[in-house]
Amino acid sequence: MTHHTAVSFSLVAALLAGGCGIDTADPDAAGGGGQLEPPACSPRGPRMTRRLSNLQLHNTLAAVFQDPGVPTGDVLNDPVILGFKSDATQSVVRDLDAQLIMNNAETVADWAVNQKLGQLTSCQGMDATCVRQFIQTLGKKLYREPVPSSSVDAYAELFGQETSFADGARAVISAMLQSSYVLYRREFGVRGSDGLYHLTPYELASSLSYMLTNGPPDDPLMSAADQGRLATTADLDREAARLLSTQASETAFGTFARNWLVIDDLASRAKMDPTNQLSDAIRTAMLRETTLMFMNVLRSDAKVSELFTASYTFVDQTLAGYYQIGGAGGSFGRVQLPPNTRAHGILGDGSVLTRHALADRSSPVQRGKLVRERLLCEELTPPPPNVDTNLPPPMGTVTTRERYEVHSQNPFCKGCHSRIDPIGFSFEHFDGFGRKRDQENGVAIDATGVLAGTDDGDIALDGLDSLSSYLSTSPQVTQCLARYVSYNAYGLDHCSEASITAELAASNGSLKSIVMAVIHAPQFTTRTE
Amino acid sequence: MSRSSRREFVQRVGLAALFSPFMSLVKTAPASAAALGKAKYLLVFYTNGTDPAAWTPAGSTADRLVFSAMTEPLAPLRPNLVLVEKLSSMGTADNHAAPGGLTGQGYSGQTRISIDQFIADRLRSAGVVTPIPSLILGSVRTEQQNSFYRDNQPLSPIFSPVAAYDAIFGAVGGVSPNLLRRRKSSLDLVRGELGQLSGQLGSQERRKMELHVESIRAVEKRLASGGGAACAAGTRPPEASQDLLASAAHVDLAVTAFACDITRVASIQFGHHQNTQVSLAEVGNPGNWHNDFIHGDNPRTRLTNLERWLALQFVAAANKLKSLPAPTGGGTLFDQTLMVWARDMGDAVAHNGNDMRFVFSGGAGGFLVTSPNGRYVDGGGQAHQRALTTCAAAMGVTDFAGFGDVNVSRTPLDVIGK
Repeated sequence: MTHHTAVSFSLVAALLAGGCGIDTADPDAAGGGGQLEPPACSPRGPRMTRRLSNLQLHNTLAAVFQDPGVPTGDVLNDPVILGFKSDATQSVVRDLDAQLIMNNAETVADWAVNQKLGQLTSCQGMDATCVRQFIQTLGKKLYREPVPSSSVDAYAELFGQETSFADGARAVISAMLQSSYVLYRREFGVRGSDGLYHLTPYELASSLSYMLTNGPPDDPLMSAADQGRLATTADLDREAARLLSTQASETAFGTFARNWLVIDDLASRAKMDPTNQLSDAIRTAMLRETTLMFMNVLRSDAKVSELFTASYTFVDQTLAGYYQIGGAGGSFGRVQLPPNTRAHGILGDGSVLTRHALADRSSPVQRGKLVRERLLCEELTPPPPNVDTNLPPPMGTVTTRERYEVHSQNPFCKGCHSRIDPIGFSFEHFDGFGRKRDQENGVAIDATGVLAGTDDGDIALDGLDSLSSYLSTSPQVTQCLARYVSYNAYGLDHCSEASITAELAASNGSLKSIVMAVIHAPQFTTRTE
Repeated sequence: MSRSSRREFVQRVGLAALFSPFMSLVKTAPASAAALGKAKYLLVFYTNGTDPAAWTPAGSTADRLVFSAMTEPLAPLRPNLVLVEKLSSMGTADNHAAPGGLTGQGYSGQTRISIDQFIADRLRSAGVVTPIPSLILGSVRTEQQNSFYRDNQPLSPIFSPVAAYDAIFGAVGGVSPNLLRRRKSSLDLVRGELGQLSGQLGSQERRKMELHVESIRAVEKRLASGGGAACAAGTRPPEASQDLLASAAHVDLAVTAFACDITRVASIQFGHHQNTQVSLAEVGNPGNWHNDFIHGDNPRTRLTNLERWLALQFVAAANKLKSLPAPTGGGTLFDQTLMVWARDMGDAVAHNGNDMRFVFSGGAGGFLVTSPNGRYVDGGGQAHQRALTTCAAAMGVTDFAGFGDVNVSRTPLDVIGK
């Protein structure tokens, strides 16, 4: 892990909600001098394998067996790095993992033989033709490429040790599900005359589909790979456009957006809503709202700025009622925001406001931290040890803002918190549950603040819309989002950065152009030795 | 029962006996635990640091514990209880997410290995081979799993009790010869393919494949040894509704694993230094352990309640250990287990490791120095690393080369153990 990355992600979890700030965090949390180090990858990294995430494994099995009910659980242990479960270096199989993989493989094999065998094979004879056809057909789906002939032979031998087709299939499926070809994506390529390794059509198909749908290539994509129709940029663009229109891509980018904005655990956050309005259903609806907005901006080729300035949102009646904006039907749909209600853009989403708050109140520190780390990709320096970061008990203070203003009175705290809290203050019209408020404990809300130290100087803020408005114009926000999209896609940080930046500079500034710039970059199609 | 003696046993009584769920519970008369002087099992509880002022058992002495509100639930363990405070992390555990708690090395450490892994390795080297070298369970699915280390690399605990159950007991008992054959053949095939992939990778990337192969070899070894004694594995637990309850379920699994002699070293992490959501009636209003209980509440009512809940889990583990015979002989599992409650930090409120604290319990094979009314040890600012090596000493490991910070004393604290 690079120093740069490690500091940044270690701080994702490190900032305090309540006190004089930020905890010291591990500057090399993901490795230090250990043996698993990310390779250099600018402009492109080496040939590599990438273990599927647990979700990708589930999605792969669900697709192959055409049943989302395929019995999987915590089979693979995903490290969470930079907010995502996609790290190419730290996602490994070690220690007890092979045991878990074996157990699950046997469970799935039993299930598949009992319930799916007719669907998996057109014949059930013990003859070599039928057996090899079964192995090759199922194997190609699971491997996402034709099974190497040596492996077909090995599976056939395994099959041959059994006395019935069902038992043979059971043995083969069980072994396949433990195969490294299933558990890992290959990014090996074939050496070209330019000395680089060019990813094969099947490897590109997997890269595209796991990036855009978190699942394996679908039939059209596999056909494109089979027929040599994944060779050009235009081919990749065509397939990317097709995949982005699928439901699977909505699920995948919903996951991306939740990890980017650090809201994925909203459902399990301990909250103390005195009004009891924050139900599980509301939390779920809040996450859906964020996903739908993200997909709307992505699919409509709208600019990144739209994420921050949209004067509309996607709600159902229940969530609209929670926001007190009205206008929604029984199912999720686009609703125009009435003036002076919910703030514009994703920072006004209940998911963001509720997740980045304390159990029972808002948190200017957490919200400021969100902006610095996830929207601007800036690092925050942790305080040294031996600092009691707890705020003094509130004495005579009645607003959250007043409590946190202690930071500005303490020179020690002020150094860092002047970069954090005044951003968070601009969120104060929204409580710890995402609801609009004009007063706190009878005192009028003061939502003025400052976004200090930008390329444009210190930006004066008054209310969340003013912050979102500035962020929508900031190239740094686009670059930061591009960094996370590329990290999530490549599993390595800061790959092909120059190429992505150059393509974005020539683009229309849309969210989709970030996704496409990642696909067009050297790391996506080529590798070094 | 050692692996070789179990083999002999299997040969004598036949495979069928192994499939009896209660086989391992039938034991010969225990030898005198006190005579052994060493523990056979190590059970580590690992939690966040706390508020020292609220935790400290003020008025306690070397032969009498006077419990604070936080520690009071530990009282039933008094005759086997040693509370240690005022040990220094020497700068290695000065903040949430610092790696020193179990490794004795800070951020700049280059050879970090947590004491549980170190002990498990040494036991293996000494010929104490169990189907699983060690267990690391619990925590919270989030960033920065940096409590446990090996090869200077943080190790992620198994979060899910269901996954833990499968990993621990998945190979135990009832395996037909056909399934065993299939498993071996499959693993052969998988290993062959891993070799094919590995051959196309540079050395840095190949390390990932090597870890996978090592993991498969561990399964193969387990299969070769019969997968562990058939024993009362209990039923597969459900997924827990929250992380702390999952950790409580993990404790149960770890103790059962001891009873089956599947492992000798188990660690359970309760919560995570930042992201622990707590919603327990015993604690009070729901909140985040770190944000709300450590750095929010004043007075620290919920932190006190949570510490009490954790203490009750520790006592429950002790009670379960007491209810089961040690597979190694020598009385109950409690008699043969060193229980230790360690933390990532000393003073979590003020972010420092100047006041590291430990709870030791268990019969520990007679290793612990005890008093009928419990013991309190003032560490006097000595290195907490010495408490970690005390755990090793309790398990019969006395060569500490390769563990901790070489510039800090690694001598076990003889005031804790014999």
